[in-house]
Amino acid sequence: MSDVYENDSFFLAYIKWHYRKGLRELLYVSQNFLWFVIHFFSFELLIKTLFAPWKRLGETYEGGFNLSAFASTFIVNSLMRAVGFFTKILVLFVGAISYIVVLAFSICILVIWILAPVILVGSLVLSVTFFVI
Amino acid sequence: MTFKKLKEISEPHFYSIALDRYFAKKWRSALRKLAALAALISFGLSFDILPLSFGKADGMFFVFIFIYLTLSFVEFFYRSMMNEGLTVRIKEKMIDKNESFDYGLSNILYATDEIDVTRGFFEAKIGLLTFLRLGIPYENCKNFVYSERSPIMASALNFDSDFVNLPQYASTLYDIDKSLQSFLAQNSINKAEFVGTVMWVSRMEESKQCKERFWGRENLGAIPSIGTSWSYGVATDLGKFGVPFEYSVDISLFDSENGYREKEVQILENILQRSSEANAIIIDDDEKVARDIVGRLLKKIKLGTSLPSVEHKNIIELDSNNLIASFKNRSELEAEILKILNQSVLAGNIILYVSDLSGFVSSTKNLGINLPSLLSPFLASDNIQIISSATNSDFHFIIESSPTLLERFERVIPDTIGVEASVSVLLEQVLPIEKQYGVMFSYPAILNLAKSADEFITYGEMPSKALDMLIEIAPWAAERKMEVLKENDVSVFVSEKTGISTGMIKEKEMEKIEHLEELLHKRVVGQDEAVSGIASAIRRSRSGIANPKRPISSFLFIGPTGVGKTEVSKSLAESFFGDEKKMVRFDMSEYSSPEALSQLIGDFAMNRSGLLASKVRDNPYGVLLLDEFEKSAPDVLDLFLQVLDEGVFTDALGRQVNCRNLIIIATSNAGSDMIWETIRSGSNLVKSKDVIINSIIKDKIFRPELLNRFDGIIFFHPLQNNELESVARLGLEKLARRLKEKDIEFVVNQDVVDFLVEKGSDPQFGGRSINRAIQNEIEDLIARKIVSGKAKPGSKIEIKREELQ
Repeated sequence: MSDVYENDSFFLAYIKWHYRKGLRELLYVSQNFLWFVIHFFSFELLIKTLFAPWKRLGETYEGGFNLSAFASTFIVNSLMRAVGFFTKILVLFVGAISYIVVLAFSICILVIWILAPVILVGSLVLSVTFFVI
Repeated sequence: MTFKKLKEISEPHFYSIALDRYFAKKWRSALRKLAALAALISFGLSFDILPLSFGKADGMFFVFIFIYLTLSFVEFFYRSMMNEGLTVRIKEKMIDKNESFDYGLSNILYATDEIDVTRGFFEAKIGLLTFLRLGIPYENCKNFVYSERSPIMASALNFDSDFVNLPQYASTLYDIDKSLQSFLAQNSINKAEFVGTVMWVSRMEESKQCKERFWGRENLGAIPSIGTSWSYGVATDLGKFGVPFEYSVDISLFDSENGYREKEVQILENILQRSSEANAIIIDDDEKVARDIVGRLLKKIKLGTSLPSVEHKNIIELDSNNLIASFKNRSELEAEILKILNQSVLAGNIILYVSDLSGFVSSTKNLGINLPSLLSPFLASDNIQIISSATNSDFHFIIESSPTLLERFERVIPDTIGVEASVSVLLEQVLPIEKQYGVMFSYPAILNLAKSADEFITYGEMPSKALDMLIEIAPWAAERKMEVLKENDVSVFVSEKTGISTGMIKEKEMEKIEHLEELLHKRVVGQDEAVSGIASAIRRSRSGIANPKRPISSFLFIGPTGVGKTEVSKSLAESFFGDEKKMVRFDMSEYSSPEALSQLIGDFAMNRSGLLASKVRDNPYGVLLLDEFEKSAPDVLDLFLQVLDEGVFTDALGRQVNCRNLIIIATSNAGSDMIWETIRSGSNLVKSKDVIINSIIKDKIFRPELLNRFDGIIFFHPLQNNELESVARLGLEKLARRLKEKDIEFVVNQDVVDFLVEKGSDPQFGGRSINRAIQNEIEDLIARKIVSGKAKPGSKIEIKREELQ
């Protein structure tokens, strides 16, 4: 349910909005950006396929008992899995950092939002003080 | 719901609208950026150690921070209020979908006072845009809005439902305001067009608003993720012969909200969802339809709203022509096809699109490859999804004859698209075209475009032919320096393209149609009943009251030979289509054998196209003349039963042939004896018409249902002496014109005319015998004179009675 403004003046409507709907929306927008980071870095998919070979590359094991062939296939396949693992881990790491940055940024904005009156009045008072001194 | 209540609901929007009005968005944005920059600079200057520092920089910094923060908060407030009630594709908590209300409508409500609702509509930006899109010039709108008219009070507006959007508001306004109705009617705009335009404009504004919400899930989610392809394989060989589908079809323009082809995309998705045999074949004569459907599926995948089985998948089109051309050797090609399929399976995220599957099958067959059995294990497996397309006839010819393919592919048969659905596709595609050519399309023009394409373009299917026309008309309009393309401009374009006059009847043409009888009489002697019957049928068609699902007109001309039946047809082609050569003529006596039908519509078994089908396809606008119609084979007559009734027929290869832009004239001399009798006994031919028709039916020459299908059965009576005289004069004048070119003057005197009438009154041959007599007697005589030197250039020839035998 959206808030009712009943012909409030612009200023009054703003004050009402700032601590109700505005705050709520700020949280939703932060949530959206955090969701975006998870989506952009494909967290779910990369974790699920962390140990899968890189781009499904690899060799298939031939039938029969041939130790050297088995060993070479095993090495190639392990290598492919390792390449996949490291690339994905790297991306996940960058993703995690981005997540933390976005989260920190959101918290910063949230603090500014909550303290908005103090910051605005404060900055005015401070500027006057600097001009007077 | 009342106007007052509506205004109350829209109140949150008013804060944004008011802000825009008193402090425009671009100024706000510029000032905010400036404040940020100034804050940054003053912050830098406040350090004592820096060379440019000055004492008041600290104070300045805080002033700019104050300005910047205040403007930012106001901006957040503005956006939040503006997006209240917005309809978004991906649901978000911050937007309560149950409470959707229209920002465009709020703009109008804000501009509307209690006294004049219509003025309020016009004064809002969105209202003005509506009038522009209706193709009405700004000056005309202004003159109307500020003219003396009885204004509609806000209290008069009452809405039936609790939820009112802009189109509903406009519809109510239209119903109440009679002056608005008559203003729109003057500009040939009806209610549906008005409301449709409002709907279009408001959709455009809404999608603009949605695009600006970069923080919304819809826009954030559309940014492609990284790493989604890493867990899938790479198909190197497919890379050589495959093209990502988005390269060939521009999916960015598709509007996933308008419901167009939604059903087909869903069917396709459900087929691809299956655990095995997840293959679909889209059957339509127009390959573009299949591409369109696949493109819309891809759009859904990219938007992240598709079913899980196709999520993250790429649609790759297999370039089968290139593939076949690259390998001359059978075994190499076979190996390559297998390789591509195996790689696609291994990759795991590929949906293969093979356009024209039947073509692929037959060209590989030429190299000795049995493609169906090669594909079979892949088609049956659960590791690959294949979409293909085929035309109807190819499907029956090639796919149906291969049980493997028939079994493995699920059929998708797209609905045929009517004018209405085509309009929504045109609206999707028109904006980039407008941008490219700098021409604005009015909504009525787009409606007319869809309607005209359906009616007058005989080849192709809807909506492709409408889209083709859209692409053709834009440069045409740009060349003529049109700023706004209006409804009638489309008619002019169609007339230029097809030779058929459509749209509003112009003065010159009006005169021509009004005096069509006189025009026809310039070439046709007598036959008043026939000429007036034809002229009134043509007038009916041109005034737009005729049925568009039938030929323009159809007539059966009955009468003895040489009385002007063919001449009427020719002069009709000339006066209606502008050229007597716009006529396709069939001598139906050649189509009396049992093979006649296959000669006309083609032969399925021999894969041969028919004469009638190909001639009509080549000349879709003109007169189709069927001489000696009564001699046609019975199944040919049955074919025309359908043509006359529906204006289309299907040829042997399953393609529709459109006859709706033809005037069909069948001639017959059945009943000529009775016509002669009637004339000889001095009775009125018009009165004996029914008797003669009944005798034709009794003699089983034509079935009554066939006769009923014609718009008119026109009787041609044998020529009387005075008419024969006119025919003779017409013929002699033609000859005189020819001699004039050789600088010889030929004097047409009564002696010659009388001689010809005498010769021409042979009841068997009618007017034709006069023409023969001119040729045999008169021309021969003149030729002798020229050869013997009696007639020289610059001389005069006059033939006396004695010279003629």
